Amino acid sequence: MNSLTGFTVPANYSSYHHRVNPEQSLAYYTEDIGINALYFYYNLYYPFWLPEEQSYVIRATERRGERYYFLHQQLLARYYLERLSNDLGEIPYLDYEQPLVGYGYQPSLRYPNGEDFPVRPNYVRLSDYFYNYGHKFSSEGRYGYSYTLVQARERRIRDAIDAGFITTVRSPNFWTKQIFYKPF
Amino acid sequence: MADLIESNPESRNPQYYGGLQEYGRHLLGYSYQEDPSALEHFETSLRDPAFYLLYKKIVLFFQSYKARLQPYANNELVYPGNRSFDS
Repeated sequence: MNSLTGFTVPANYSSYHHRVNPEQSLAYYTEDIGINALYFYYNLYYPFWLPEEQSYVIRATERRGERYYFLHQQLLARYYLERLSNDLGEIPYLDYEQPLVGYGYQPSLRYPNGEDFPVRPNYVRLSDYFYNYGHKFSSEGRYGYSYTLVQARERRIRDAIDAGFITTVRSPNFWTKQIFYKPF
Repeated sequence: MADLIESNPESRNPQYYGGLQEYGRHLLGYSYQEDPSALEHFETSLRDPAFYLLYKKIVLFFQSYKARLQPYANNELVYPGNRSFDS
């Protein structure tokens, strides 16, 4: 076996010295500027909120669902490998009822106006919060109900996958079923 | 189907199925103030372990969907008249 040349990349990431939870030993990977830049520019070039006629990259909306799945599956696969190399095991399954698995996060980051980024402690329980901060009850005000909304929407997606039909909008008061595939 | 989960404008019924990404990020970000948490900015979201927790579920949706589709028929996979040559 040939001798290998080793390279040392001096890194100065922000939460390297925290030891809040065992996940922090992966901070060399999660705080990597390159991978965060990749995700940012990916969402800049192929944003999920723009329809086809407004997108500014040619063919940005072609096969966008597949591309979405591919990107996230690759990111998760690499993360899983990093976890395995640090003896941490599989990515835990997210259950909204239980206190969130002890993986808090403390971004040591700050906004330009001086406020810190919000910190999430280990072992929190998620719930709805019912104050609206004066927003109207549209998409902004609905963020307070995220807990029930996320669970309901996940259940609907799972039902759609298992049953094989989705409810589509024909006119604002008349929703129909549409069979989109036959389960095997 | 992928458009439904991602809730892009080609989704058939966004107010019924959509928004899993946005609300999931807000919920797991655990911010009781008005400023968005680290999960809600795209450039810091990969740092948070809850990103991977949330997206594991989404990737599992896709995989269970693909597991339920019919297998490919032979004529969809094979081009007739294809031969490979050894050069």
